[in-house]
Amino acid sequence: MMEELLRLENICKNYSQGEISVSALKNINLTVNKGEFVSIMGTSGSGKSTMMNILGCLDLPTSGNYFLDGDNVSSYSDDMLAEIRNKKIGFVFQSFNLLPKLTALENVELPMAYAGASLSERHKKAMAALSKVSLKERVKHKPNELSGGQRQRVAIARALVNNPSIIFADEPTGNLDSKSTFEIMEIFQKLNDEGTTIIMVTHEPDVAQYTKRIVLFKDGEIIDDSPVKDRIIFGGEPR
Amino acid sequence: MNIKECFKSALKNTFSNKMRTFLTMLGIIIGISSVILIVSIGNGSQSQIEEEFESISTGALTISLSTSDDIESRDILYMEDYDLLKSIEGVSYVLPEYNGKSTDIKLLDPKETKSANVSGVTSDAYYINKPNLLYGKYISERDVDMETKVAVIQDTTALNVFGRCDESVIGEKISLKTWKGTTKFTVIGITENKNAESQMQYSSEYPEEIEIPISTAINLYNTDFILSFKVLLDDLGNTEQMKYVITNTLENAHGNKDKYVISDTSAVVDSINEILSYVTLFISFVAGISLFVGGIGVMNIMMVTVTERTREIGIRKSIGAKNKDIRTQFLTEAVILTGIGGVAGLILGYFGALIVGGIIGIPPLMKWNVVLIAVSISVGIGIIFGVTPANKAAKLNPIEALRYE
Ligand SMILES: Nc1ncnc2c1ncn2[C@@H]1O[C@H](COP(=O)(O)OP(=O)(O)OP(=O)(O)O)[C@@H](O)[C@H]1O
Ligand SMILES: [Mg+2]
Repeated sequence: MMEELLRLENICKNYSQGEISVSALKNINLTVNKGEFVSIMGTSGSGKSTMMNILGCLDLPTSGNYFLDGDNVSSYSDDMLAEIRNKKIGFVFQSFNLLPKLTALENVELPMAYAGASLSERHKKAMAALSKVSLKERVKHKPNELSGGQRQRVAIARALVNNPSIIFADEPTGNLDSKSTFEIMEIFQKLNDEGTTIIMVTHEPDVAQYTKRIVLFKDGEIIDDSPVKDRIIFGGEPR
Repeated sequence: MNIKECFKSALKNTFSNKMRTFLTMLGIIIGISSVILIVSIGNGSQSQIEEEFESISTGALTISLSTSDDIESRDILYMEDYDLLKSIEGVSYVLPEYNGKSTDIKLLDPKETKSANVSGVTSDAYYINKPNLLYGKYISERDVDMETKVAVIQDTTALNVFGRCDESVIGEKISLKTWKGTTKFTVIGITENKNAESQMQYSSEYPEEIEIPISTAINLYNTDFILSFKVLLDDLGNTEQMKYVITNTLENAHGNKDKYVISDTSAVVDSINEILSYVTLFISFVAGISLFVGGIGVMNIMMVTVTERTREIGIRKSIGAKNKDIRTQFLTEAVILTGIGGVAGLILGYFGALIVGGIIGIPPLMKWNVVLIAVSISVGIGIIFGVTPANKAAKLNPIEALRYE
């Protein structure tokens, strides 16, 4: 029995710039169940990031309803959305978005600071999250002293640290070489195996092969939605 | 995120750009330090004036002829008025002010003389002027009654005349030269010259101060009118009513009206204090303007900071910072800027006051409430001028903030 995690109902997003109005999302309907690992693909400007931002509660749709864990969050206030971003959602960006003045460890601890956790708890959980992404050394370094792959692993650890029910990743491997890309995908697969739902945007078809389902966008609409055939699994047995 | 953490991270941010932080604080530092300098010098001179008046007398009323032109001979105050004033109920001590003119005293070297201020006093002077008696005793009621030739001199005079100041001076003779000739007085007491220190600067210019019984003085100088009377009341709370009673009594005795004025020293101190506090207020107002300008500088830099750190704000929001978390963060930074500026200004202002006070001869007085007010004002400036930038930061849309380059 599949348990629904999120559902988009007739989501539209318009950007108006003076006279011109851009329709970035047109009537999107999408349901994602717990434990899924979804790739969002599509041409540039097709609305993938726009949808991810709405899913990640960073932005609100112009119209339509977004249900997360059964709650209609499209009517939530700023603070309620902040709370959801903090507790239920982990976001991974293409450009890492780490705070440059904080160390890797401090960056990972930050979401817990906003959640009000104690210092010792923060440290313990941050170290656990960093070890999940195989980054136990160099945690006292600032982001600019880390490689791109390492930075993205810090960002994933930060997304993981509050035990979110879902991770959104917008082109997480867009700035990485193929070796780092595979490392990140391996981490994502492991996390997904452990039960974390993941939705990621990617331009690379071979990266999408590591996921379980591909949703294809074009001009603000979903034109295809199908399971991945011949999925690649790290280290062996398909599930 | 608790307040302590907020402070720690704000401190870290504030000191990551030391030059900018210092320049921003400068307005506050200058504002607060000038307020502190002015107020502590003002308070210092206020307490100095109070102290000086206190050494003259405390709570005494001075009764004198008014300065109007139509003074007649019957209005003049004489020794009879002394007895009259003494008899008024509620009056505890009365001191006639009687100064002898052009008197010289012989100094240690008998060929040298120095001018002296001779005051004729009653025994009440002891309670009104409150001299600090070092040796011997003060002029008694009996000395006044018997017109004895005794004198109370000051420690500085003793040194000038006898070359020493100790118990052995008591009983020595001091010679006063008037137009009548030389009269010898027996020294019965030595008091402390409370103005010795300030007189030092002008060396020997100051005449010696000598007190003798008023009856003896009247004989010596051949005039018996009194410039003014000093009166000490039983109950200071009753001053206004007693002023009325005293005036009435004198007017009845002299058969006149509106010829006497009664002033109390506390009123003089009050009016000087009032002038001083106006001056302090005015200059503080000017300093307040500089604080205002400093506050605008803080606001300007905070606006720049918020813009510069738009992306950071976006990141913080994306991981769950609420609007109020962001607002608190930037407000704390503004308060730290002005708070540290305020404390630095406080220290600078205090040392400035010590230096300026040293030059103009007024020891500055730093009161705790001024310190407290200065610190709260600077923190207040941080809050007032930090609110707008902090709100701007808090209201940023997370997506737009993240997209900011
Ligand atoms: N803030 C904005 N203001 C105006 N138009 C916007 C804004 N953000 C996105 N758009 C427009 O919305 C459309 C969808 O943009 P979006 O960023 O979602 O595309 P995308 O699929 O993520 O593209 P890419 O693969 O290049 O990242 C584009 O036409 C874009 O120009
Ligand atoms: Mg995009």
